[in-house]
Amino acid sequence: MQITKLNVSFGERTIFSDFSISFEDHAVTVILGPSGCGKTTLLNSIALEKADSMVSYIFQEPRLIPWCTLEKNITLILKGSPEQKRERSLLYLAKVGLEKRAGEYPGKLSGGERQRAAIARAFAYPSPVLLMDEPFQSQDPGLKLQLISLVKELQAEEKRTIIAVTHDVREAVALADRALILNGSPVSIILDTPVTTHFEQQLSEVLTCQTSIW
Amino acid sequence: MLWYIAALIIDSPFIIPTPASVILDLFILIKTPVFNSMITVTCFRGLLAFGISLVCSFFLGLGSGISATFSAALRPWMTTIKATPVVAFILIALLWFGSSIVPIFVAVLMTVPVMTEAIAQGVRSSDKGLLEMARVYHFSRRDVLLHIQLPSALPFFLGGAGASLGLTWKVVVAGEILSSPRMGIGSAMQTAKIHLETPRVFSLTITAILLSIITELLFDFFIYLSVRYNRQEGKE
Repeated sequence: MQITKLNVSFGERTIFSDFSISFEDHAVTVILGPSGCGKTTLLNSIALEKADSMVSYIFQEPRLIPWCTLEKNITLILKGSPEQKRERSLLYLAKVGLEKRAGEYPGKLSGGERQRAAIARAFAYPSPVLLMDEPFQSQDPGLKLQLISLVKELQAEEKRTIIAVTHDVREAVALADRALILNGSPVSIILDTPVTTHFEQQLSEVLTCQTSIW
Repeated sequence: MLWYIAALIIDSPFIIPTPASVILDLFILIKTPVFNSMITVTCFRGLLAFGISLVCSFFLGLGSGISATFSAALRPWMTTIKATPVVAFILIALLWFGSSIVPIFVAVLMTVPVMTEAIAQGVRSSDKGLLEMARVYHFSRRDVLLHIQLPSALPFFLGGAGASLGLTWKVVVAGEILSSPRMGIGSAMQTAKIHLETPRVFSLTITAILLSIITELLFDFFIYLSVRYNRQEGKE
Protein backbone atom coordinates (compact mmCIF):
# COMPACT_ATOMS: atom_id res chain seq x y z
CA MET A 1 0.00 0.00 0.00
CA GLN A 2 1.35 3.42 -0.92
CA ILE A 3 0.78 7.03 -0.07
CA THR A 4 2.31 9.39 -2.59
CA LYS A 5 2.98 13.12 -2.50
CA LEU A 6 1.07 13.84 0.68
CA ASN A 7 0.80 17.54 1.50
CA VAL A 8 -0.65 18.66 4.82
CA SER A 9 -0.37 22.10 6.44
CA PHE A 10 -1.92 23.61 9.53
CA GLY A 11 -1.96 27.34 9.00
CA GLU A 12 1.59 28.36 8.13
CA ARG A 13 3.11 25.15 9.51
CA THR A 14 3.82 22.51 6.89
CA ILE A 15 3.53 19.00 8.33
CA PHE A 16 3.92 16.95 5.17
CA SER A 17 5.37 18.22 1.92
CA ASP A 18 5.37 15.81 -1.05
CA PHE A 19 5.70 13.00 1.46
CA SER A 20 5.58 9.49 0.06
CA ILE A 21 5.55 6.25 1.97
CA SER A 22 4.83 2.61 1.25
CA PHE A 23 3.59 -0.08 3.60
CA GLU A 24 4.18 -3.77 3.30
CA ASP A 25 0.94 -5.67 2.71
CA HIS A 26 -0.19 -8.20 5.36
CA ALA A 27 2.42 -6.97 7.84
CA VAL A 28 2.41 -4.75 10.92
CA THR A 29 4.18 -1.44 10.41
CA VAL A 30 4.68 0.79 13.41
CA ILE A 31 5.19 4.50 13.01
CA LEU A 32 7.26 5.96 15.81
CA GLY A 33 8.08 9.56 16.48
CA PRO A 34 7.95 12.31 19.08
CA SER A 35 4.61 13.77 20.16
CA GLY A 36 3.17 16.21 17.66
CA CYS A 37 5.45 15.12 14.80
CA GLY A 38 2.49 14.19 12.59
CA LYS A 39 2.00 10.48 13.26
CA THR A 40 -1.76 10.73 13.83
CA THR A 41 -2.06 13.21 10.95
CA LEU A 42 -0.43 10.62 8.70
CA LEU A 43 -2.82 7.93 9.94
CA ASN A 44 -5.84 10.20 9.37
CA SER A 45 -4.53 11.07 5.90
CA ILE A 46 -4.29 7.35 5.09
CA ALA A 47 -7.88 6.87 6.35
CA LEU A 48 -9.03 9.78 4.18
CA GLU A 49 -7.11 8.59 1.15
CA LYS A 50 -8.58 5.11 1.50
CA ALA A 51 -12.06 6.45 2.38
CA ASP A 52 -13.59 4.81 -0.70
CA SER A 53 -12.25 1.39 0.23
CA MET A 54 -12.62 -0.22 3.63
CA VAL A 55 -10.32 0.72 6.47
CA SER A 56 -10.61 -0.36 10.10
CA TYR A 57 -9.48 2.00 12.81
CA ILE A 58 -8.64 1.38 16.45
CA PHE A 59 -8.62 4.73 18.20
CA GLN A 60 -6.85 5.78 21.40
CA GLU A 61 -10.21 5.43 23.18
CA PRO A 62 -12.52 2.48 22.34
CA ARG A 63 -15.22 4.77 20.85
CA LEU A 64 -17.99 2.24 21.41
CA ILE A 65 -21.54 3.56 21.23
CA PRO A 66 -22.50 3.59 24.93
CA TRP A 67 -26.23 2.91 24.41
CA CYS A 68 -25.62 -0.07 22.10
CA THR A 69 -24.64 -3.52 23.32
CA LEU A 70 -21.25 -4.90 22.28
CA GLU A 71 -22.94 -7.08 19.68
CA LYS A 72 -24.84 -4.10 18.26
CA ASN A 73 -21.66 -2.02 18.20
CA ILE A 74 -20.20 -4.57 15.81
CA THR A 75 -23.27 -5.46 13.75
CA LEU A 76 -23.75 -1.76 13.00
CA ILE A 77 -20.56 -1.65 10.92
CA LEU A 78 -21.25 -4.87 9.03
CA LYS A 79 -23.14 -5.57 5.84
CA GLY A 80 -25.33 -8.60 5.14
CA SER A 81 -28.37 -10.27 6.64
CA PRO A 82 -29.07 -9.82 10.37
CA GLU A 83 -28.08 -13.46 10.97
CA GLN A 84 -24.77 -13.07 9.13
CA LYS A 85 -23.97 -9.86 11.01
CA ARG A 86 -24.86 -11.41 14.35
CA GLU A 87 -22.79 -14.50 13.61
CA ARG A 88 -19.74 -12.45 12.62
CA SER A 89 -19.99 -10.13 15.60
CA LEU A 90 -20.25 -13.06 18.02
CA LEU A 91 -17.34 -14.79 16.28
CA TYR A 92 -15.05 -11.80 16.80
CA LEU A 93 -16.28 -11.15 20.32
CA ALA A 94 -15.41 -14.78 21.03
CA LYS A 95 -11.93 -14.22 19.57
CA VAL A 96 -11.30 -11.47 22.11
CA GLY A 97 -12.93 -13.46 24.94
CA LEU A 98 -16.08 -11.34 25.22
CA GLU A 99 -18.69 -13.67 23.71
CA LYS A 100 -20.51 -13.98 27.05
CA ARG A 101 -20.75 -10.23 27.35
CA ALA A 102 -22.14 -9.63 23.85
CA GLY A 103 -25.45 -8.37 25.26
CA GLU A 104 -23.86 -5.94 27.71
CA TYR A 105 -23.36 -2.21 27.34
CA PRO A 106 -19.84 -0.73 27.16
CA GLY A 107 -20.43 1.13 30.44
CA LYS A 108 -20.49 -2.18 32.31
CA LEU A 109 -17.06 -3.23 31.01
CA SER A 110 -13.60 -2.38 32.29
CA GLY A 111 -11.28 -0.16 30.22
CA GLY A 112 -9.35 -3.19 28.97
CA GLU A 113 -12.52 -5.05 28.00
CA ARG A 114 -13.80 -2.02 26.11
CA GLN A 115 -10.55 -1.81 24.16
CA ARG A 116 -10.82 -5.55 23.43
CA ALA A 117 -14.31 -4.94 22.07
CA ALA A 118 -12.89 -2.14 19.90
CA ILE A 119 -10.24 -4.56 18.62
CA ALA A 120 -13.00 -7.13 17.87
CA ARG A 121 -14.93 -4.46 15.96
CA ALA A 122 -11.86 -3.47 13.92
CA PHE A 123 -11.11 -7.08 12.95
CA ALA A 124 -14.77 -7.94 12.33
CA TYR A 125 -14.86 -5.17 9.73
CA PRO A 126 -13.78 -6.93 6.54
CA SER A 127 -11.12 -4.43 5.54
CA PRO A 128 -7.67 -5.20 4.21
CA VAL A 129 -6.14 -2.26 6.09
CA LEU A 130 -6.28 -1.68 9.84
CA LEU A 131 -5.07 1.58 11.36
CA MET A 132 -4.24 1.92 15.05
CA ASP A 133 -3.66 5.24 16.79
CA GLU A 134 -1.88 4.51 20.09
CA PRO A 135 -4.68 2.12 21.09
CA PHE A 136 -2.91 0.85 24.22
CA GLN A 137 -1.72 4.21 25.51
CA SER A 138 -4.15 4.49 28.40
CA GLN A 139 -3.78 0.88 29.57
CA ASP A 140 -1.53 -0.28 32.41
CA PRO A 141 1.64 -2.17 31.34
CA GLY A 142 0.26 -5.68 32.07
CA LEU A 143 -2.94 -5.06 30.18
CA LYS A 144 -1.02 -3.42 27.35
CA LEU A 145 0.96 -6.63 26.78
CA GLN A 146 -2.25 -8.71 26.86
CA LEU A 147 -3.87 -6.47 24.25
CA ILE A 148 -0.76 -6.52 22.06
CA SER A 149 -0.64 -10.32 22.12
CA LEU A 150 -4.37 -10.37 21.31
CA VAL A 151 -3.78 -8.20 18.23
CA LYS A 152 -0.85 -10.42 17.23
CA GLU A 153 -2.99 -13.57 17.55
CA LEU A 154 -5.72 -12.06 15.41
CA GLN A 155 -3.14 -10.78 12.92
CA ALA A 156 -1.56 -14.25 12.66
CA GLU A 157 -4.97 -15.59 11.55
CA GLU A 158 -6.06 -12.72 9.34
CA LYS A 159 -2.91 -11.17 7.86
CA ARG A 160 -4.21 -7.64 7.50
CA THR A 161 -2.06 -4.66 6.58
CA ILE A 162 -1.74 -2.99 9.98
CA ILE A 163 -0.35 0.50 10.41
CA ALA A 164 0.06 1.46 14.05
CA VAL A 165 1.16 4.74 15.55
CA THR A 166 2.92 4.82 18.90
CA HIS A 167 5.63 6.62 20.80
CA ASP A 168 6.36 3.57 22.97
CA VAL A 169 9.41 1.70 21.65
CA ARG A 170 8.63 -1.45 23.67
CA GLU A 171 5.12 -1.52 22.21
CA ALA A 172 6.63 -1.24 18.73
CA VAL A 173 9.05 -4.09 19.39
CA ALA A 174 6.25 -6.31 20.74
CA LEU A 175 3.88 -5.58 17.88
CA ALA A 176 5.62 -4.72 14.66
CA ASP A 177 7.29 -6.41 11.71
CA ARG A 178 8.67 -3.11 10.51
CA ALA A 179 9.23 0.30 12.10
CA LEU A 180 9.32 3.76 10.57
CA ILE A 181 10.60 6.67 12.59
CA LEU A 182 9.35 10.09 11.62
CA ASN A 183 10.68 13.46 12.64
CA GLY A 184 11.19 17.00 11.45
CA SER A 185 9.08 19.71 9.94
CA PRO A 186 8.09 18.96 7.25
CA VAL A 187 8.13 15.33 8.29
CA SER A 188 10.73 12.94 6.91
CA ILE A 189 11.50 9.29 7.58
CA ILE A 190 14.67 9.05 9.66
CA LEU A 191 14.66 5.28 10.06
CA ASP A 192 12.89 2.52 8.12
CA THR A 193 13.82 -0.91 9.39
CA PRO A 194 12.47 -4.37 10.09
CA VAL A 195 11.87 -4.92 13.79
CA THR A 196 14.46 -7.47 14.84
CA THR A 197 16.29 -8.11 18.07
CA HIS A 198 18.72 -5.32 17.09
CA PHE A 199 15.95 -2.77 16.67
CA GLU A 200 16.37 -1.12 20.06
CA GLN A 201 20.11 -0.80 19.50
CA GLN A 202 19.53 0.69 16.04
CA LEU A 203 17.08 3.09 17.54
CA SER A 204 19.42 4.24 20.27
CA GLU A 205 22.06 4.96 17.58
CA VAL A 206 19.57 7.04 15.66
CA LEU A 207 18.51 8.82 18.81
CA THR A 208 22.15 9.64 19.59
CA CYS A 209 22.43 11.33 16.22
CA GLN A 210 19.03 13.04 16.49
CA THR A 211 19.62 14.67 19.89
CA SER A 212 16.57 14.57 22.15
CA ILE A 213 13.92 13.94 19.55
CA TRP A 214 11.72 12.16 22.13
CA MET B 1 -48.71 30.66 57.41
CA LEU B 2 -47.80 33.88 55.61
CA TRP B 3 -50.95 33.55 53.54
CA TYR B 4 -53.04 33.10 56.72
CA ILE B 5 -51.42 36.13 58.42
CA ALA B 6 -51.90 38.26 55.29
CA ALA B 7 -55.56 37.21 55.07
CA LEU B 8 -56.07 38.13 58.75
CA ILE B 9 -54.36 41.53 58.36
CA ILE B 10 -56.16 42.52 55.14
CA ASP B 11 -59.40 41.02 56.43
CA SER B 12 -61.14 41.08 53.08
CA PRO B 13 -62.13 37.73 51.49
CA PHE B 14 -62.45 39.54 48.11
CA ILE B 15 -58.71 40.35 48.13
CA ILE B 16 -57.12 37.47 50.07
CA PRO B 17 -59.42 34.70 51.28
CA THR B 18 -58.21 32.57 54.21
CA PRO B 19 -56.59 29.22 53.42
CA ALA B 20 -59.48 27.46 55.18
CA SER B 21 -62.08 29.12 52.94
CA VAL B 22 -60.05 28.23 49.83
CA ILE B 23 -59.68 24.57 50.89
CA LEU B 24 -63.39 24.43 51.66
CA ASP B 25 -64.17 25.93 48.26
CA LEU B 26 -61.82 23.42 46.62
CA PHE B 27 -63.89 20.56 48.10
CA ILE B 28 -67.11 22.23 46.93
CA LEU B 29 -65.55 22.71 43.47
CA ILE B 30 -64.52 19.04 43.25
CA LYS B 31 -68.10 17.99 44.02
CA THR B 32 -69.63 20.22 41.29
CA PRO B 33 -70.89 18.28 38.24
CA VAL B 34 -68.78 20.39 35.80
CA PHE B 35 -65.48 19.82 37.62
CA ASN B 36 -64.59 16.59 35.82
CA SER B 37 -65.49 17.94 32.37
CA MET B 38 -63.57 21.16 33.10
CA ILE B 39 -60.45 19.23 34.09
CA THR B 40 -60.86 16.83 31.14
CA VAL B 41 -61.16 19.65 28.60
CA THR B 42 -58.14 21.54 29.98
CA CYS B 43 -56.13 18.31 30.14
CA PHE B 44 -57.11 17.50 26.56
CA ARG B 45 -56.01 20.96 25.38
CA GLY B 46 -52.75 20.74 27.33
CA LEU B 47 -51.86 17.25 26.15
CA LEU B 48 -52.85 17.98 22.55
CA ALA B 49 -50.71 21.15 22.56
CA PHE B 50 -47.83 19.25 24.16
CA GLY B 51 -48.12 16.44 21.60
CA ILE B 52 -48.21 18.81 18.61
CA SER B 53 -45.29 20.74 20.10
CA LEU B 54 -43.29 17.53 20.61
CA VAL B 55 -43.73 16.45 16.99
CA CYS B 56 -42.98 19.90 15.51
CA SER B 57 -39.97 20.48 17.79
CA PHE B 58 -38.58 17.04 17.04
CA PHE B 59 -38.33 17.74 13.32
CA LEU B 60 -37.33 21.41 13.65
CA GLY B 61 -34.73 20.60 16.32
CA LEU B 62 -33.34 17.74 14.30
CA GLY B 63 -33.08 19.94 11.19
CA SER B 64 -31.43 22.73 13.19
CA GLY B 65 -28.97 20.35 14.83
CA ILE B 66 -27.91 18.76 11.57
CA SER B 67 -27.92 21.75 9.22
CA ALA B 68 -26.40 25.12 10.08
CA THR B 69 -28.33 26.70 7.16
CA PHE B 70 -31.65 25.38 8.45
CA SER B 71 -30.75 26.59 11.94
CA ALA B 72 -29.88 30.07 10.63
CA ALA B 73 -33.15 30.21 8.65
CA LEU B 74 -35.16 29.18 11.70
CA ARG B 75 -33.45 31.46 14.24
CA PRO B 76 -35.25 34.76 13.38
CA TRP B 77 -38.63 33.01 13.64
CA MET B 78 -37.79 31.44 16.98
CA THR B 79 -36.38 34.73 18.33
CA THR B 80 -39.53 36.59 17.24
CA ILE B 81 -41.82 34.00 18.84
CA LYS B 82 -39.82 34.07 22.08
CA ALA B 83 -39.83 37.89 22.17
CA THR B 84 -43.57 38.28 21.49
CA PRO B 85 -45.78 38.60 24.61
CA VAL B 86 -48.12 35.62 25.15
CA VAL B 87 -51.12 37.99 25.36
CA ALA B 88 -50.36 39.36 21.89
CA PHE B 89 -50.48 35.83 20.47
CA ILE B 90 -53.70 35.12 22.32
CA LEU B 91 -55.36 38.25 20.89
CA ILE B 92 -54.15 37.48 17.35
CA ALA B 93 -55.24 33.84 17.68
CA LEU B 94 -58.66 35.00 18.89
CA LEU B 95 -59.08 36.84 15.60
CA TRP B 96 -58.06 33.77 13.61
CA PHE B 97 -59.54 30.79 15.46
CA GLY B 98 -62.42 29.77 17.67
CA SER B 99 -61.91 30.35 21.38
CA SER B 100 -61.37 26.67 22.18
CA ILE B 101 -58.41 26.40 19.78
CA VAL B 102 -56.64 29.54 21.03
CA PRO B 103 -55.10 27.97 24.18
CA ILE B 104 -53.76 25.04 22.13
CA PHE B 105 -52.33 27.25 19.38
CA VAL B 106 -50.64 29.62 21.83
CA ALA B 107 -49.25 26.78 23.99
CA VAL B 108 -47.73 25.19 20.88
CA LEU B 109 -46.18 28.51 19.84
CA MET B 110 -44.72 29.10 23.29
CA THR B 111 -43.23 25.65 23.78
CA VAL B 112 -41.89 24.87 20.29
CA PRO B 113 -38.88 27.25 20.55
CA VAL B 114 -37.89 25.81 23.96
CA MET B 115 -37.98 22.18 22.81
CA THR B 116 -36.54 22.91 19.35
CA GLU B 117 -33.49 24.58 20.87
CA ALA B 118 -33.06 21.72 23.37
CA ILE B 119 -33.16 19.05 20.63
CA ALA B 120 -30.87 21.02 18.32
CA GLN B 121 -28.34 21.42 21.15
CA GLY B 122 -28.56 17.70 21.84
CA VAL B 123 -27.92 16.79 18.21
CA ARG B 124 -24.99 19.26 18.06
CA SER B 125 -23.52 17.82 21.25
CA SER B 126 -23.11 14.35 19.69
CA ASP B 127 -19.72 12.87 20.59
CA LYS B 128 -17.26 13.95 17.87
CA GLY B 129 -15.24 10.77 18.46
CA LEU B 130 -18.29 8.59 17.75
CA LEU B 131 -19.09 10.62 14.62
CA GLU B 132 -15.50 10.14 13.41
CA MET B 133 -15.77 6.41 14.12
CA ALA B 134 -19.05 6.30 12.16
CA ARG B 135 -17.36 8.06 9.22
CA VAL B 136 -14.42 5.63 9.22
CA TYR B 137 -16.73 2.60 9.32
CA HIS B 138 -19.02 4.04 6.61
CA PHE B 139 -22.20 4.30 8.70
CA SER B 140 -25.20 5.25 6.59
CA ARG B 141 -26.76 8.68 7.25
CA ARG B 142 -29.73 6.86 8.77
CA ASP B 143 -27.56 4.87 11.19
CA VAL B 144 -25.65 7.98 12.28
CA LEU B 145 -28.96 9.69 13.00
CA LEU B 146 -30.60 6.70 14.63
CA HIS B 147 -27.70 5.34 16.65
CA ILE B 148 -25.57 8.40 17.45
CA GLN B 149 -27.28 11.76 16.98
CA LEU B 150 -30.79 10.98 18.25
CA PRO B 151 -29.69 9.08 21.37
CA SER B 152 -27.24 11.94 22.09
CA ALA B 153 -30.15 14.38 21.83
CA LEU B 154 -32.46 12.31 24.04
CA PRO B 155 -31.46 13.74 27.46
CA PHE B 156 -31.73 17.29 26.04
CA PHE B 157 -35.07 16.40 24.44
CA LEU B 158 -36.45 15.02 27.72
CA GLY B 159 -35.15 18.05 29.63
CA GLY B 160 -36.77 20.40 27.11
CA ALA B 161 -40.00 18.36 27.13
CA GLY B 162 -40.14 18.46 30.96
CA ALA B 163 -39.68 22.25 30.98
CA SER B 164 -42.24 22.65 28.18
CA LEU B 165 -44.83 20.57 29.99
CA GLY B 166 -44.97 23.06 32.89
CA LEU B 167 -45.05 25.96 30.44
CA THR B 168 -47.87 24.28 28.48
CA TRP B 169 -50.24 24.28 31.49
CA LYS B 170 -49.47 27.92 32.27
CA VAL B 171 -50.11 29.03 28.69
CA VAL B 172 -53.21 26.84 28.21
CA VAL B 173 -54.82 28.26 31.37
CA ALA B 174 -53.80 31.82 30.41
CA GLY B 175 -55.26 31.22 26.94
CA GLU B 176 -58.51 29.93 28.47
CA ILE B 177 -58.73 32.97 30.76
CA LEU B 178 -58.40 35.41 27.88
CA SER B 179 -60.33 33.55 25.21
CA SER B 180 -63.00 32.14 27.58
CA PRO B 181 -63.99 28.98 25.74
CA ARG B 182 -67.13 27.19 26.98
CA MET B 183 -65.23 24.85 29.29
CA GLY B 184 -61.86 24.85 31.01
CA ILE B 185 -60.05 25.80 34.23
CA GLY B 186 -59.10 29.21 32.81
CA SER B 187 -62.68 29.93 31.71
CA ALA B 188 -63.92 29.02 35.21
CA MET B 189 -61.28 31.35 36.70
CA GLN B 190 -62.45 34.18 34.46
CA THR B 191 -66.08 33.58 35.47
CA ALA B 192 -65.13 33.45 39.16
CA LYS B 193 -63.19 36.71 38.78
CA ILE B 194 -66.16 38.46 37.17
CA HIS B 195 -68.39 37.29 40.04
CA LEU B 196 -65.75 38.35 42.60
CA GLU B 197 -65.50 34.76 43.89
CA THR B 198 -61.91 35.13 45.07
CA PRO B 199 -61.81 31.78 46.98
CA ARG B 200 -62.92 30.08 43.74
CA VAL B 201 -60.13 31.83 41.78
CA PHE B 202 -57.66 30.56 44.39
CA SER B 203 -59.07 27.02 44.43
CA LEU B 204 -58.98 26.88 40.62
CA THR B 205 -55.38 28.12 40.71
CA ILE B 206 -54.53 25.32 43.15
CA THR B 207 -56.28 22.85 40.78
CA ALA B 208 -54.14 24.09 37.87
CA ILE B 209 -50.96 23.82 39.96
CA LEU B 210 -51.88 20.27 41.07
CA LEU B 211 -52.59 19.34 37.47
CA SER B 212 -49.17 20.61 36.43
CA ILE B 213 -47.41 18.78 39.30
CA ILE B 214 -49.25 15.50 38.64
CA THR B 215 -48.48 15.53 34.90
CA GLU B 216 -44.82 16.37 35.55
CA LEU B 217 -44.59 13.50 38.04
CA LEU B 218 -46.26 11.18 35.54
CA PHE B 219 -43.84 12.37 32.87
CA ASP B 220 -40.83 11.71 35.14
CA PHE B 221 -42.26 8.28 36.03
CA PHE B 222 -42.76 7.48 32.34
CA ILE B 223 -39.13 8.40 31.63
CA TYR B 224 -37.96 6.28 34.56
CA LEU B 225 -39.99 3.30 33.31
CA SER B 226 -38.80 3.63 29.72
CA VAL B 227 -35.13 3.92 30.79
CA ARG B 228 -35.51 0.84 33.03
CA TYR B 229 -37.32 -1.09 30.27
CA ASN B 230 -34.64 -0.22 27.71
CA ARG B 231 -31.88 -1.34 30.09
CA GLN B 232 -33.66 -4.63 30.83
CA GLU B 233 -34.46 -5.38 27.22
CA GLY B 234 -31.04 -4.30 25.95
CA LYS B 235 -32.61 -1.85 23.52
CA GLU B 236 -31.09 1.41 22.35
